[in-house]
Amino acid sequence: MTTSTVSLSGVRKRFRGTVALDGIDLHLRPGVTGLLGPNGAGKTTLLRILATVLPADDGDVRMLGRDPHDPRQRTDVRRRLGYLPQELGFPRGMSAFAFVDYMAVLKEWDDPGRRHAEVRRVLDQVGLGDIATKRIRTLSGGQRRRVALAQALLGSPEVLVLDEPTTGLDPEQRASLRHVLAELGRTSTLLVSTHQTEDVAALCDRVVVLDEGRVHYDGPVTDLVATAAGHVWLSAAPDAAAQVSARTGSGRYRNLGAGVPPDGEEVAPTLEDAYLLLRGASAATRPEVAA
Amino acid sequence: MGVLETADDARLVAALAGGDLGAMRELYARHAPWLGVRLALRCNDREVVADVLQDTFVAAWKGSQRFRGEGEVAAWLWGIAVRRLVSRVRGRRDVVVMAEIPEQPHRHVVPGVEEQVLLDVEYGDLGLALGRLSPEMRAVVQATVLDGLTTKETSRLLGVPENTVKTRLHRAKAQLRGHLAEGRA
Amino acid sequence: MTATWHVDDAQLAGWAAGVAGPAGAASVEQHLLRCADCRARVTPAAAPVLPDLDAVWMRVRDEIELPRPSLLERVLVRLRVPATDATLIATAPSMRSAWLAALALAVLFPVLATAWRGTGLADLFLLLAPLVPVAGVALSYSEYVESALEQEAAAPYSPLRLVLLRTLAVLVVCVPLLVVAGAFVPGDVTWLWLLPALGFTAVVLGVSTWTEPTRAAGAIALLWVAAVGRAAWRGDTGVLLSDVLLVVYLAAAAAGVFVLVLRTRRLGTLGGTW
Repeated sequence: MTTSTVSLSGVRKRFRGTVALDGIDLHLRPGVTGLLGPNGAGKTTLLRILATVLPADDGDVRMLGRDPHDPRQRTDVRRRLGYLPQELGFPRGMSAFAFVDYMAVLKEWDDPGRRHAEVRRVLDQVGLGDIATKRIRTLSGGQRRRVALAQALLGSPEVLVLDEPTTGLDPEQRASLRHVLAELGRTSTLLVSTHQTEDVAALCDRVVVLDEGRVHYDGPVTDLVATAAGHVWLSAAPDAAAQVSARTGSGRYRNLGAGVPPDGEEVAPTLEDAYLLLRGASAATRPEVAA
Repeated sequence: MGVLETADDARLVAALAGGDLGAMRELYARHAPWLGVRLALRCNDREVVADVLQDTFVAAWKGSQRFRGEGEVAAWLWGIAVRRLVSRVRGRRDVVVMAEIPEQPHRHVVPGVEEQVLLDVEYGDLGLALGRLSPEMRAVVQATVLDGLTTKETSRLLGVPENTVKTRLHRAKAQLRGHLAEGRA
Repeated sequence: MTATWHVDDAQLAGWAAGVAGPAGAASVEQHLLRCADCRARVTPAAAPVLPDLDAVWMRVRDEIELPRPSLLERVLVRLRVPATDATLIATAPSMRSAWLAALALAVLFPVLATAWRGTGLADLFLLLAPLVPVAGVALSYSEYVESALEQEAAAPYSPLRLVLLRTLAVLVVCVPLLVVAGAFVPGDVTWLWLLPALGFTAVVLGVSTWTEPTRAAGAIALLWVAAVGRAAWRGDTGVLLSDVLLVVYLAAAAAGVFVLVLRTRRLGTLGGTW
């Protein structure tokens, strides 16, 4: 497909003998794609390759029609890329404003007036405009994450690679962030990793499930949810035969699996149900491996 | 935002210490207009007024813990502003401070009944008496009595020696007393 | 005092226009200090010389929000370094430790020299001086210190330029200080230490395209301490500054810079991630 803004074919990466990515094929277009998977599935490795901070060992990577393995083209890609890493680090003693301003300098915003206006814009966008003068170390975890997100948004990049942007955010912040990301997804290509299936359900049109360095599911969110239809039952008591049985807010149990519990009432599946069932199915078809 | 708009001034000032720019924006929105006008009535240079206004709010941001929560924030801000004005115009002969105030109230300005009463009681005679002072003497009275500056600050503001300020104030008071006695008689 | 009385609109406008008369103005001004309602009604449009309040607000905001350039940044800008480069140099926090180390040596050696004459002083200087810039450079681009490295690495700014800027900043301050310290040391060491210092620094930069620069710096430091220790034990540290070795240091410097430029061009990041 020529309209893909980000394209991976047969991408492999190993670290000291451990396979992190084992032949990834992925083609993304503008819009928000969610990346789900257990810890150790290779999500962060995949995102770091797309962020041009890690080279693939093997396979082909194309971003905005350019090859990030070529130095000149990589700089071009970086000019049009925003990246929120999983591990956050900030130079000591900087205010939120100073840090984003510093990143803006690295992103070639040379004119101070335009740079400062852009820094204010992105800080406002993540809801930190009014506390931009505070030192980063005095901020909460969720606020720090948003500071890091703000630098990723500088210049409204065409490709945004966001590693767990919603971690540490309270429900309100999460809702407003989803709004910001959805807005960006109208024109840019966003790949967002998360542990929260509700983020994906609320935000993404498309979901990619990664496990053991491979793509286990790639398609519309609604299609994945549909795979769980007929497998979700509410019952008064936990169902021993179910793959997953969890108590809900109403005191009844939500059972996922093929069988129908004795007093079972079928309910509409959520993305979480579908994801857990998919995970369960993939775990059943191969020997137990630690995440 | 809604919280800030209903917070009283002292709460806003307290929030400044925590680095809350939203509180600062609100404080500025409430106080910059009247402070700006009051400064503009004392200095004919737009740039100086802008600088003093800027300095005042920056000083409030940096020194917000110096506001102890007693009295009016407005009075605290004016205290900062008038002293900034003093240090800003020091040694600048080209800036006219305390421009002459017209002898008669503007014809469009018709005091309301209540205000008229208040003026009559509190300021009626005094207003006339002040109007009869020379501009130099009136400036001294305004700076010391009405704006609360010390003799030293007044001398800097008006660019005259401290002794002159003292003499003028002394004479102004005597003259005012005379006019007021005349008025009553 | 709860204000039940308020200044009327006409009088407020008259005051703002400067035509209220001295007593009227005084009355309005005293009232405004205590009445939020009347303050809110002040419309500054009529005031004769009032500046643009929105513009003043932007200036206030700039002054409290924009990061104040550090002393270092201001000095750099005075020296005609472009402002953005000055910011990038000054943001490397580790630079200061290298500078302080150099400063410490510059203070220490003159003091030591008054009490202690002889080869011991020269040996100590030879041991320490070349390692200061090496450590400074290694730390200035190490991910242990530069914790924002991951975000920095994804930015289009040339990593080669960044590392060279910071190296330069370390060297420009450290070398003169160390030269001052060296002036109090007897013998050839006074100047010749510059060559191993240069060679080591360049090697660290070159090696940093494969791995963490602090590792390279650590290895070099160990080797150097061992070599100086051995030579001192034999009573002749001069062998470390023999003609042959001086050429080797120079060659290492050239090789290090060559590798750095070549590999960074190709790789685009430092620190062994590529």
